[in-house]
Amino acid sequence: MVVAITVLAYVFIPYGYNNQFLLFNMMMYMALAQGLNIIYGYTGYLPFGYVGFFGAGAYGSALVIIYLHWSPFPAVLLGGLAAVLVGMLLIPLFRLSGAYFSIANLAAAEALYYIIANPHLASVTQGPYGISLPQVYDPNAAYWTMLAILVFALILSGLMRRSRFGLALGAIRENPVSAEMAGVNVVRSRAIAWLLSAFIAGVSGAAFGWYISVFYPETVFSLSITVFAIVFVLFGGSGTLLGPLVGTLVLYGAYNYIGISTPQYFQLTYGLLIILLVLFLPSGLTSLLRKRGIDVP
Amino acid sequence: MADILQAKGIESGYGNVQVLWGVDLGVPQGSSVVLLGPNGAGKTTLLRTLLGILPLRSGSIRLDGEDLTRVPTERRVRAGLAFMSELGVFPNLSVVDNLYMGGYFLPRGEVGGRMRKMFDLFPDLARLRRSLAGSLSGGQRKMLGVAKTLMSRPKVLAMDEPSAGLSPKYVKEVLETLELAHEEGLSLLIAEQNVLFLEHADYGYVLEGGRIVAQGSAMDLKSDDTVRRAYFGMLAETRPQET
Repeated sequence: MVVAITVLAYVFIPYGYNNQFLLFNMMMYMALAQGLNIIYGYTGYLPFGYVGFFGAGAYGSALVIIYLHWSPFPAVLLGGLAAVLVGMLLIPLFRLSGAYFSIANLAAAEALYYIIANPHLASVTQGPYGISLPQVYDPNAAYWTMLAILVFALILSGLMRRSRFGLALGAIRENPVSAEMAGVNVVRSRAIAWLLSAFIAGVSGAAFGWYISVFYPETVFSLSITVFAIVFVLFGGSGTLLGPLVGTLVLYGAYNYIGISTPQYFQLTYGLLIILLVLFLPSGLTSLLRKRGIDVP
Repeated sequence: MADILQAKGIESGYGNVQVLWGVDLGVPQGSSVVLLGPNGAGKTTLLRTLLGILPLRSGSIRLDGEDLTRVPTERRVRAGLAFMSELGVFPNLSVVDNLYMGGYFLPRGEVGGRMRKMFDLFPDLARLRRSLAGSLSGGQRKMLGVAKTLMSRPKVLAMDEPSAGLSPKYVKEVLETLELAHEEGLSLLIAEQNVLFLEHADYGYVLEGGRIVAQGSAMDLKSDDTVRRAYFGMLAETRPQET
């Protein structure tokens, strides 16, 4: 049902409200928040460098469009695979725990950024001069692709909540040794969640690159993308299907509303909202419902 | 009787400290074996090494003819070696989800029936099925630990101090459940300080300083001088009339 409502919303809102870029970004953040939820909400690892996958996806797809003249759809999928590849390289990071994992992941994303933005590689990556994809520019098609990605992310996250695999991830989050003693292959389960999460960020990044069709390394490796996604997940409630959606809707909505109406108070209001959240609702908005005994999907 | 679990020349330890020095141990099919020993003798280390949580430095481990020496924990568990300890339950999962985790690698069709069986065995757990494991009392949690490990129909169940921190009433209950499990054909390996467990066992080993210092049938061990001196002294505190 959650999926159906989301789809209907994004299909029909464009007819009444024509800021398509805002809607696109909203979908993108919902997908990213859901992807982050898969790794953070279900396994407890918080990747501060999540944007690395996003950038890898954007660049992976843009480069095959430019050099190999791929059409956008397979290019978006390839962007996802590029992110999965980066994710595989980063699997050793799971030896680290807690904050160390987060920081090492952040460093990895930064390293990727510097490799791509390196002027000496400009002949391959266009370096700091950025990418431009006029040959495939088609925001409408990119919009629907993003919607498909969001639906995919929602279904994946929903399935994980109900499956044995999701339960196993929850057990790993609690106590990896006990999970292993229950017969769970801890390393493999974690890696699968990680790569799924990376894939979602990768295809989101690729669709984003396609939608705006002109971007620079700092656009798609911007730390604020990670921070937004993390804050949205936390605000809504991690480990649930609804939480990241609600979090994105409320906070990204507020972000744009304040940004347009009273930009001078923007930082203030936003900061206050987050402080209030941490103080009074550390497990997110959806925990309000759960406290009343309502089961949140 | 053939040994279902066979460990030979086990050496293991933590970092630079070697704890176990060539331990040989066998658990005969369908029997219950008690591993006695004071604190620091290496009982927990031995169980953890058998499960593969600690790396084996030398020696070999076989379960039901299958060589598990170089196999990761998760595969040893799938082969039928289960481990129950204090930390076995997941406090933030419900009782039902804990049992699901216990039967994680069972074929899907078997899980429901197995779970009903556990609820028959432990009616308390059936009543509390929706509660979080962390909200259970110590005794109930231990019951859940037993039920969770039995879910997977193990061949050998290794237990680390099942009586630790329990009131005598619960110790009795744990012992009764163990006898029940025993009737299912399960073999048991119980690491304990409480000599009471010897009464319910077939065979015993005494571990001291990382070496087996005595072994024999439960009957023989009870009358063995070393064991008497080392352990029935402790028993004397609880049951003075027997010394």
